[in-house]
Amino acid sequence: MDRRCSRAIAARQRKVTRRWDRAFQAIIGVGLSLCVSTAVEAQANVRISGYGNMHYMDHDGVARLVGIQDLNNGFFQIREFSLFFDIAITDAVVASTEIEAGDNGTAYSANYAYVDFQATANLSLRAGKILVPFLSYNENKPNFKQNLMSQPFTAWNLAPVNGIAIDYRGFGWSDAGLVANWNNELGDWGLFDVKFAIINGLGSNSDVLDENSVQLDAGMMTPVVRPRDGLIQNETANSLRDNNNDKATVLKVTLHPLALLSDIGFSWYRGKWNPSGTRNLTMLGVHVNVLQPNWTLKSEYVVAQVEQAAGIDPVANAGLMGPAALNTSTGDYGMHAWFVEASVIPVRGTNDRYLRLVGRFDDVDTNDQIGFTPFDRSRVTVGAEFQFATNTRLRLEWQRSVIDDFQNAPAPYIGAGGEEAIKMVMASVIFSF
Amino acid sequence: MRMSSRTFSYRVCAAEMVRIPMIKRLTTILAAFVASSGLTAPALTARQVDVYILYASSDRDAKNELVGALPEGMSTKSYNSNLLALADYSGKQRALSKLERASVVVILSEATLDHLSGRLADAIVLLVNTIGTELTSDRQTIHVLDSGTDVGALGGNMTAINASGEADLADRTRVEAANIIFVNVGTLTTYRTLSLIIQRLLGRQP
Repeated sequence: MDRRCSRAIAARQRKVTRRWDRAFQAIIGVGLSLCVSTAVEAQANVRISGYGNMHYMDHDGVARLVGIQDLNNGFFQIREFSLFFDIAITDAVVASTEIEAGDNGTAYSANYAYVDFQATANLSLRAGKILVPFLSYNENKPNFKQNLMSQPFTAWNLAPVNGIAIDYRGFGWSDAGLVANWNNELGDWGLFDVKFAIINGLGSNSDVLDENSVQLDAGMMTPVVRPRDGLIQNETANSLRDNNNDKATVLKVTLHPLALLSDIGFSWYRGKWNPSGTRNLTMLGVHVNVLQPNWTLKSEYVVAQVEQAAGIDPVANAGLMGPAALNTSTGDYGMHAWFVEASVIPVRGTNDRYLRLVGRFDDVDTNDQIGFTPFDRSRVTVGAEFQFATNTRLRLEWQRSVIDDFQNAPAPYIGAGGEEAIKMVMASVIFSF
Repeated sequence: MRMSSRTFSYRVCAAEMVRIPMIKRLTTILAAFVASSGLTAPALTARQVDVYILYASSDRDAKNELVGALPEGMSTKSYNSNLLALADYSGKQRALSKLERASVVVILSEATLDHLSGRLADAIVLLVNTIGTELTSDRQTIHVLDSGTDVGALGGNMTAINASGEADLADRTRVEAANIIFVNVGTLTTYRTLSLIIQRLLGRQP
C-alpha cells in the first residue's frame, strides 16, 4: 500500500470514527438514561441465555488441500459461543435472535433473528431469519442439546450446512422467510404439530448445484476437483438472498405420542435451485426421537433428488485444471444420508452429575451417479460425556469413517494423503446457561 | 496484466474505507438495540396477562378446572409444555419470555417441568403439588403441596404454613414473602383454593 493511500485512509478513519463515535455515544446516552430509570423492568423482559464450547480435534487420513488448514494437524478451537436474546414485545409477540461467535471468535453470525406472533392458542407465525424446519437435528443443533459434538451426515451434508463440508465447517440451516406453526392436542394420546415455511431456498449461481471446488495438495500435482460435499446455500448466502424468483417451501409434520416420550416426524422440501428457476431440488426426510431420562434413541433418514444438466465442467469453465471425469456434471442425481444414535446414562451422582455413553452410525452419499466422492462414506462414532457441574460437560469422541468405492479414488487424492479410513478424536468442554 | 499504481491504490483504499463504517455501523445497530430495550421498557412491563398456566398434556383436565375456578375478568393464558418437545431450540427461551409477561405463573405438575427450566425475574411462580425447582422466580416462588409431602428436597429459604381453611389460607398468602409452602390444603380438589391464592397474590379480594 503506498504512502498516499495510507494517509488517505488514516484521515478517512479519523473522520468516520469521530462521526460514528458521536452517533454511538448519543444513542448509548439516550438508551442508558432510559434504561436506568426502568432497569428492573427491562431486565424482566429481555432474556439472555446461551452456550459455548471449546474442543481439541485431530484427524488422520484426510486429504491435504491447498490454502486450507491441514486437518491432520490437531488444533484447539472455540467452535461456538452463542448468546440468545428474547424480547417479549407483548404477551403474543416475541423477538428472538442468537448471536454466535464461531471459529475461535473470528466469525460472527445471527443463526436466527425473527419475530414470532402467537395468532391463536394453536397457531403462531414467524418472519425473519429462521431455523429451517427440516428434520429434527437442524432445529436442535446446539451441542448442549445433543450428545455428540460432531454433526450427523444428515445435517452436515444434506439438511444442509451453510458453509463447505470439506472444510469441516457447519453452522446449521437457517434462511430468510416465513413460518406458520400449528399444533393440536390429540386427547390423551399426544400432540400433532405442523410447520410450513416459505424461504428463499437453496441454490447456486451457476448451472451446477454443488459446483464448489478445492485444490488437492499432492506435491507436484495440485489439480482442482469438485468434492461434491453436499447441499450448500447459494453463493449469495451471506445475505441469504434468493438467486431466482422461485421461493422454496418446507413442510414438517410431527407426532408426539406421550406414552413413548418420543416424536416422529416427516419433512419435505422443494425449490428451484438454478438462476433461471427451471431445475428442481426436492428432499424427503423422516426422523424418530425417543428421549427417556436415562437413555435416548435418535434417527434421521433423508433423500434428495436434483435436476441438473449433464456435461458441464465448472472447473474447466473457470480456466482451472482438473480431471474432467470427476468435475463434469452427471445430470440428474440423487443423494441420501441417515444415522442412528443411542445413548445411555449408567451413572448419576449428586448435583446434576452424570456419565453418558453414546454410539452413532451414519452413512452418506452425495451423488449416486459419480464414480468417486469422499462424501460417499459410512462412519462410526463412539463417545462419553461427563457432566461434572450443572450444565457443564466434558465430552470425548472417537470416530472412524470408511470411504466407499475408494478403488476409484484418483491418484492425486491418494497423493494428497487421502486414505480409505479417516479417523478423528475430539475432546470438548461444553457449557450452557 | 499489471495494474497501474493509481488503480491499485484506489482499489486498496476503497476496500479499507468500506470496512470502517461497516464496523461502526454494526456497533451502532447494537447500541440502538440496547437503547431500544430502554425505550420500550415502560410498554413492555405493563402486565397483559394475570395468570399464565403451564401444564403438561396429562394435566389438561386440571388446567380446565383451574381456569373454570378463576373469576371472570381475570386475564388467563395457558401453554402445553409438551409442545416444547417439538419446538426448535429457541422455543424454551421464547416460552420463558412469554411467561415473564404474566403476573403469576402456575405450574400444574412435575411433568410440566420436563421440558422447561429457568428463572423468571418478576413473575410469581406458583407450583402445584410440585417440589421440582427447575423453574423458579427471583421475586417469589410458592409451592402448594398436599399434606404429607416430603419437602426435604426443596431446602433453602422456605417457610412452611399449615392452612386450616380457606379464610386462613387467604390471610396467610403474602406477596412479599420469599418462599412459602402451604401444606395440608385439602380443598385443592376443587381448585377454588388455588383461585383464592392467585386472587390474593394479584391483590384482588375474593
